[in-house]
Parts: sequence; C-alpha cells; structure tokens
Amino acid sequence: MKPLAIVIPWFGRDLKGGAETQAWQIASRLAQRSHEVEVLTTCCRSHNDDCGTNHLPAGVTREVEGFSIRRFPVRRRRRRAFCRVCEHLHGLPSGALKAGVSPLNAADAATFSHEFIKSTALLDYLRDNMGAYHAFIFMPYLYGPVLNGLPLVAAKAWLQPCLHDETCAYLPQVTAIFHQAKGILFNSDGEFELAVRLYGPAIIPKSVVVGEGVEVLERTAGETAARAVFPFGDDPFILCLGRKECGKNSHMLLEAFRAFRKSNPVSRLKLVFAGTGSIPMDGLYEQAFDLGTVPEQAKLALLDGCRALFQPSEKESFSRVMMEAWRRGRPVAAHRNCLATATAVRRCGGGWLAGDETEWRALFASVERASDGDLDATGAAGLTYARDVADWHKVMDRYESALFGAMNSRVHVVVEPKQALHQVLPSLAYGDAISNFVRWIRRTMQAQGIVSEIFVLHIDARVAAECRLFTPGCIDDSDAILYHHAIGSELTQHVIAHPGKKCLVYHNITPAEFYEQSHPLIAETCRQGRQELRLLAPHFQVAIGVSAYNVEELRETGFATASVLPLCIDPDQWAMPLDPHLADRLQAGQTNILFVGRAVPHKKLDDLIRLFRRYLDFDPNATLHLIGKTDPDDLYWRYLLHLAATLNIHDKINFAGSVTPAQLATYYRFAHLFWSMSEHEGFCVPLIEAMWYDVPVLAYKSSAIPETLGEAGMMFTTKEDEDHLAALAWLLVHDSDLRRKLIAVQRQRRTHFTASVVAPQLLALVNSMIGPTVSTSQAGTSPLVA
Amino acid sequence: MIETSNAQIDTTALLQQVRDVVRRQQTEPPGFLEAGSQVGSRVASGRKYNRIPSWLPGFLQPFFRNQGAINRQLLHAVEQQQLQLQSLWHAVKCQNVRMSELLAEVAAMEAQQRQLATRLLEKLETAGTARAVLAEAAVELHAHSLDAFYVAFENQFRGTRAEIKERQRVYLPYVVGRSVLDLGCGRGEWLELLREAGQTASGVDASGVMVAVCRELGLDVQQADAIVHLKSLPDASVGVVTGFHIVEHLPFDVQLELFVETRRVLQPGGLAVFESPNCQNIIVGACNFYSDPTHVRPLFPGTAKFLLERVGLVSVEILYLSPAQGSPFNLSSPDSAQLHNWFFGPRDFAVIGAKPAVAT
Repeated sequence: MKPLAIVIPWFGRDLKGGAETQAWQIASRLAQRSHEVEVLTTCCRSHNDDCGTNHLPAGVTREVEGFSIRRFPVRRRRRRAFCRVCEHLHGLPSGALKAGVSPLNAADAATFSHEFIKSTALLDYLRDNMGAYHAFIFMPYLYGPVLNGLPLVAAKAWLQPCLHDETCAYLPQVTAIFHQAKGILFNSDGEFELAVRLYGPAIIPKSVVVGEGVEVLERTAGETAARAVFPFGDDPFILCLGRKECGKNSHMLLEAFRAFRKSNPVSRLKLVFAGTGSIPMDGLYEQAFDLGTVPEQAKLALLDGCRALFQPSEKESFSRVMMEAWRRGRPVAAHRNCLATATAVRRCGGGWLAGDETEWRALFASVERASDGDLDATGAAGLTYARDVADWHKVMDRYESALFGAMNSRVHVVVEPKQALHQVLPSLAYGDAISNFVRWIRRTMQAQGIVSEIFVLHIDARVAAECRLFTPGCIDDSDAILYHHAIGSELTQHVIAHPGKKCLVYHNITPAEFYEQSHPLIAETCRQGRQELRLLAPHFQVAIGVSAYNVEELRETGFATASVLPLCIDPDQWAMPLDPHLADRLQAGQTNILFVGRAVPHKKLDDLIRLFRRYLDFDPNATLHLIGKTDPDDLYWRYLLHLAATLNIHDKINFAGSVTPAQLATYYRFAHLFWSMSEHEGFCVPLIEAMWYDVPVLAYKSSAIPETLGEAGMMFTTKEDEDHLAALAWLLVHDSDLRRKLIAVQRQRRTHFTASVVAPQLLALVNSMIGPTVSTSQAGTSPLVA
Repeated sequence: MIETSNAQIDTTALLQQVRDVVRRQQTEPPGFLEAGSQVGSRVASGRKYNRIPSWLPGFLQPFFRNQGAINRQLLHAVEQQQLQLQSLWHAVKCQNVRMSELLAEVAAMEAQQRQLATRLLEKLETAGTARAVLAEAAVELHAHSLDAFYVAFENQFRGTRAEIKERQRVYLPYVVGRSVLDLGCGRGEWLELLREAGQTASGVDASGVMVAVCRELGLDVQQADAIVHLKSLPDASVGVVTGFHIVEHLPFDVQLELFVETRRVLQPGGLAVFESPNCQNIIVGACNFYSDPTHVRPLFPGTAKFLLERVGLVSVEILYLSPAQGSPFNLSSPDSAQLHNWFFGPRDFAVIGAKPAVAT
C-alpha cells in the first residue's frame, strides 16, 4: 500500500490552530492503525509568522507517533500586490458576499491564491510524485499549497476544508477545488450544509462527514476537589466555555442573562464563563462569574456540574466544547444561525436552539424550570450523537473507509459485451431530458466497455461529437438497438425492419389536443406518433417507459411486457461554478419563482403566468423565471409575451428561454419555489433537479407528476381556486417550517434517480438484450484505485 | 385541493394556513406580508467581519486590528439601527392596526351620534310642543283656579244668596226706572232682584265661573274687567252704575280710575252706588276684612265720599248697613255707645253719588 499524504501549509506538534491540531491527530491515529502517512508541508513556522520566511529547515523528519514530515521552502511573495488584495478583501462591506459571486476580480483572486504561501517546490513535488502516493488529503481549504496543489493531483485528492462562512470561501479558486477533488471530508453536518449552499449539489455524492474526535478524559478525584472551590457553591449554573469575544456572542449572552435576572430576581441560576478573554460583568455580582482559564480537571468538573452548556457563537465549523459537553451527558444550547452547531442540535435533539437575545433569555428560564430528568434525557441524546460523531475511533473508521475503502457511488457492474448496443432516435438536441438521458446511457455503457453509438437524423452542433448521422445500413444486423420513440419519424420503418434485438424506449407523445389550436402541424405529428406506436408493438421484444404512466400507455397500445426504467438525474452534472452576473442579479432580494421546461402549450405556461399575477398580490417583490428551449417566432411564445403585457407584469417575468448549464444551475440555486402547471408530463426531470438544489416543488397533479414526486410531492388538484393557490405558493416561499419539512423529504426522493440507482437497472436491461453469457457482479474495489 | 404524500405535512392544517394568508392579504396593504421579514436579514451576514481572518499573516494583523475595531463598532451601530427599525416597524404595524380599529370605532360613533342628534331633535320638538301645551294649560289653570276658589269662598264667608238679596233691597228705591250696570256682579243677586223688580239690568264680572252662574240664571252678564268694560262704553250711556264689594279689591289708582269712568258713563242725573266693608267697625276693619285674601285695604267711608266728590259727583251720601247682632253694649252711655259702635257698628257702608243733571 502506498503512503497517504496530508498536504497542509503549517504543521507541528505544538501548533495551536484548529486545522493543525486536527491534522496532527489524523496523522498520529492513522499511523497507529499501521498506515504509512507523510505530511507535506512548508518551512513556515506558524500562521502568526511571516509566510514568506523559512523558519524551519527543509527536508524529511520522522515523528515518534510514526509518521514523517516533509518540509518544502517557500518563496518570497509579491508583498505589495498581496497586501493590496488583502486590504481590499478586509475592507469589503458587510452583505457584499453573495453565493456564486467572487468578492475579488479575476486578477486579484489569482494574485491571492498564488501569493499566499508560495511554495513552488511543494507544487513541483506533487506534480512529479503523484504516482507514489495512494491518496492526498488537502487541508484546510485555503492557501497556495492547497489551491494550487489539489488540481495537480485531483484524481487522488481529498479535501478537508474546515470551512467557515467567510470571504475567502467565495473565491472561484475555492469553488474549483471543491469540484475537482475526488472526495471531500467534513467535520460536521453543518459544515457540509454550508459547502452545498456555496458550491452546489455536485459535491453531495462525494462528500463524507467524518466528524472530528474529541478526547475524553477519565473522571478523577481531582474533579470533586475542583468543584468544591467554585465561588457559586452548589447553586445551579449555566456554563459557557471558550474564548470570550464579541464575535462569539459572549456579550449578547450576558445581556440575555441580565434581562433574565431582572425579571426573575428570586432565581438561583448562575451563569459561569470559563476561558480566555474578558467580559465586563457590572451589575451581576454574585450572579455571573468569569473563572478565566481553568485547568482541565476544573473544566471537567464544570461540565459535569452545569445544568446546560450554552454555545451562542455563530462562527463555528465544529464546536469542540459542544461535543465535550455532550460527552459528559449535558445538554447544549446553540445559535440558530450557526449551521455547524444548529444542524448538530437538530440532528440529535441533544439541546435547544436560540437566535436573538429574547430567545436566549427565554432559554435561561426554561432550563431553570426543566426537571433534572428532562435535562439528563436531552443530554443523553447528545451523548449518543457525540459518541458517534466525535469519537476518535469512529472518526478514524470513517477516514479509513473513505480513503481506503469502496466509498464510491459509482456502480461497477461488470458486463461482458457480446454485441454492440446502439441508440436510435430522430434528433439529439442539447439540454432536453431525452437527449441528456440518451447521452448518459451512452457514457454508462462505454464506461462498461460496451460499444455504443447514437444515430440520429438531425444533429445539434453542440453535441455533434457524441452522435452520428443515421443512414440505412449504418447498423449491423447483429447489433442491438435502443429505439427512443417520442414522435413519429421516418426512422420508424427502418427500425421495424432491423432484424436484431430491439428495445423501445417510450418518452411519451403529447396528446394532440394540446396542439390543435396553435400548432396544427405538430398536432398531426403527435397523432401520427401515437398511431405508429400501435404499429410498432409487435416488433419489439422489450419495451420500457421512463415512468409507470408511460408504461401504462405502452401496455394499452399492445406492449404487454413493458417495464419502467426511470431517467437518471445525477448532481455531478453541476460540478461547475455558477454564473456570477446572474448570481448577483438573482440575489437582489426578490423572490425567485422558477419553471424549467420548453415553452409548449401542454406545459401551460399561460396558466402559470396568470397565477403568478395573482401571486404578486401577496408578494409584490417577486420574479417569475421561465427557462426552457424556445423559438422566438413560435406562436405560443408570442402569446405568452402578449399575455404578460396584457396583465401588466411584463417586467416581473424573466423570459429567459435557452440558457447555459451554468446559468441553469444558477437559476436553480437561487430559486425559492419551483412551480409547475403542466398538464402532461412523461416524467418531468426539472422536478428532481429542483430537489437537488433544495427548492420546494409545487405542481399541478397530472400525468406522471405524482409518480415522479413520490412522497415528496406538494400538488394541487384544481387550478380554479387562484386565491388559495397563490397563498399556498406564498407559504411555500415564506414559511420556514413548511419548507424544512418539504425539503427533508425531497432530499430522500432525489436519491431514487442517481446513477447508482438507475445504472444497475439499465445494465440489467442491457444484459437481457445482449445475451445470456453476460454476468453481473458488484465490484469490491474502486476502479479508480491506482 | 392540496394533495401530498409527505407524512409530515397535515393537509387540513395547511389548508387552514392558506385560508388565513388569503384573508390577511385581503385586509392588509400589498407587500405587507413580506416587508417585515426583509428588515434585518441583510445585516446578519456582515458579522463575518467581526474578527481578523485566521488566514491573515501574523505581521499584517496589527495593521488590520484598528480597522477591525472600527468595523466592529460600525457594524454594531448598524445592527442596533436595524433592531430599532425592526421594532419601529413593528410598532408602526401595530399602530396601523390600532388606527384602523379606531377609525372604525369613530365612524360607528359618528353614525350613532347622528342618530342620537336626530332623535334628540325630534324629542325637543315634541317637548316644545308639549311645553307650549303645558304652559297654556298652566295659564288657564292658574287663571281659573282662583275663580273656583272665590266662588267657594263667597259661599262660605259672604253669606248666602238669599241673605245678600235681602240686604240689597234697600237700594231698590234709588234705581227705580233706571237701567243698571252692575260691576263685579258676582253671583248675580242684585241683578236677580232688579229683574224681579222689573228693572233692566246688566252686569259684568271678570270671573268666568261667576258669569256662568249668572247666565245659568238667565241674567245678562258679560265676562269682562270692570274698568275695561266701562271704558268701552260711550259717555253718559248708563243710568246707574253699581258696584257691591268691589272697591276694596282695587288699589287706590284703580279706584280713582273706576270712579272717573263711572262718572263719565253716567247719564246726567245718573247714580253711582258702591258698597264696601265699613272699617269703622273694628272687628270688620282689623279682622274680618282679612278673611278675603283678595281684599287690598278697607276704603274709609269718609274717604269714599271725598273721592266721589272729587271726581265730580254730587249729593254724595253714605249709608251704613248691616249692623252686627248681639251687642252687649248699652247704647245710653256715650262710652258704651262708642264701644258698641266700634265692635258692633254697621259692618258695611255704601256711598251714593249722582251725576249733575246738567254738565258742569
């Protein structure tokens, strides 16, 4: 087994930084588990020292814990340019940070990432020695070695970001490494949530929350002795551990306590601070105490004796003291707005959440009132969670399974190909659901080593590389065909004539009546398509529909053995930075209502526009974004524009039409609600795409929509009641409780359509078509292991 | 209308929430639902700048520490402003709600007030009418309350009609062959007497009740004030003017006027006869006179004669009438006689005067 590398800018036994101490622990414990670990770091001493000076000698050293450290020298940076950028970064006004929008221009961002700890020696070493290591862990998410080093070894790179919600997290270089890394290791669920918000759902499949261990000291007699000398005697108290400063909300907590004592003068509850820093306590003599820095034994005694630990800070990626309290079985109160701590509390129920001073004050009262039994029970929930998340053994187990095990979500069904399996369809377009599915099938099959091409009559230039023009005789008689039938075409007769194995994939044909009024020609084509379907029935041994709704239609038209193969919607298609200009515009404070879908009559965009007009009465600062392929000369499109003008809401509707993938990702990222009024869908891919971006989905119940939504559906059965519909949409945008419930279930539903779920079904189908000599088995090792 | 297979969402409760939102939107101004939540959400993101970023190299930190302190303070100030704005906004919202409630109350009160005003006016009108009616009634009542009183009084104190008639026979010889006008004819005894004697006579009395009584008896009586009636008569049109027990009811100037008018209306040679209580009888003058509360003061017989002569009547004589019965005094001795006169002397007197036959 090749050694594991940890790349970190500063490293040393006694370094006090969060990432550094964690790295030391990881290196030591992995070494304890007999892994070969080498830490690649610089000659810089600590982050308080000048990062252009080599304080420590270069070269390799071995530590007693069993791992080695390899140091590389740094070069002087361009001080003036770097300082200017730092100044600019620090001087940014609050509220200037928007997801997807870089706080620096491209040149400044590049300067920042290059000049901040510049070690070309380290980068060269990485480039030259990638093959010598099993994997690399880069931590934290910032600094030259990480930003520039990770892309060099991306295929083997794991990122441990120790992420905070701060300026540098919004730089495009950081976004890039999150997308390029093979995997990401998070300290807490909250940190993971933050990363998804900043960098998109593409990182979800490759993220692992390993947690961070918290050392547990055994109880000793010294604790009881320590307890005896506390100035507050046996009175019940709330504990607040950690550095006291404004940023950690210590002052706010004190004020809340002051207000609590004012309204409860007879209360015996005390507030005890312990840790560095100072805080003025005037007026609370004998009620609040600041013990300053305390020895370990005293700290443990405090933890054991407190009624609860309050952690009011909003700037945590992982709260060590919170875990320490839970390890001692005490309940914890965290700040509602701090993702890392709040998510943990919500996840295990080991405490409470509070936001502003009023809520903290109420929390003092309720903790005092609560019975000891209740507090112990709450603490016990936290204990279970902490034992799992913050236990070094469990944490290291997770590291091992991620770095060395089969953590991949990729399916590896090994198929022995006997024949080629080609796909045939009238046209391959760019961006629509069918075309995306077809291209995914091709990729999946080619990844398995199966010969598979796409043959079409009409090619869109953007996907020309992935398909070929169909000509009679282009497919061997012995090859198998996957024929995608969505509308009638001249291909049909060729497909019927093909003697080899054939499978019909039915994507549903829109009922002609939707097009009668506006597009009589298309209506005719649809009618033809449905008629042709009947003709096709006897010629196909296998038939699949992308939904049960489609399969039902297939069965009615004579395909007795039709089965379901759902479309595959995988989030790694969005491993790209957002469109910054669009991101900026969409975060101007308005409510963004989104619909993604072609502008065709059966998707009922006119109904949506009308209902949006009513919605504006509830929420005047809203914009409706209509994304989807359109033809500006199309009658229906012009009708929609006219309708918007008639209703006088033309400035509130963004008729975006066709957009780039980055723009689509951006629209999803900042949408508050996905609203569909469509009356006919074979599957409706955008519903699941919206779920990946945690956008609540509201849809008119029709055709395959209830099936796609499953248990995550929020549907309405009538379009008549405009008032109630608009109010429901308003609630879905503004009621955070409702949104949380909906999103929680949506997060489960979306996993039904990932490649890891759909690919086995596809490959099973492929197996059934290209011969019985094929065997399938799940791989035990990752094919990506070098 | 709502359908979901999400086990955590209660569709009934959700539908109720939807209805509440619709109701609120219809009663509150647009954008109202949204406004409050936007305030304060922006500034929260600025808290990132409260500390020096950890990645900043050590030597740069002092450089930024001051900046950091300023930023912190600024942010804190802005946050406080935001909080204040939020609470102000909340207060304004409450005030608006209260305002609309108050306006509604005011409108209701105004409507009520208008209603009350209308009713009040109606009532006032009714009251005014009622008061006028009452006032009239009161006046009438007042005017005639005395009439009835006096009738009852005379019946009790003056004596019966028969008695009076008897006493008044003494005047018959004086008025033979003359038309008589009786002022204050009262119960009409004298007029009856005259009718029985075949004399033409008429009377006036201010009391409607007295007039009614006389008319019952078929006497020619009018209801009028004596002097007003006299003034309505032409000169020298009446043969005899009589007035029994009227002058003591009149103040002095009115007595004079009475005598003046009497003289005017008398025909030449006509007679004026006025009878009145004789206050030379002390019992009458100091005691019984006051039994009638409408008496003003006794007219001294000598003064009466003097007055008649002053107004131009001639041959004025005084008749003394109605001596009291049962006197214990001996008339033979002058002292007793004096006592007798004082206590048992004539209780009434009459003064009779004549208009000169030719004008003088």
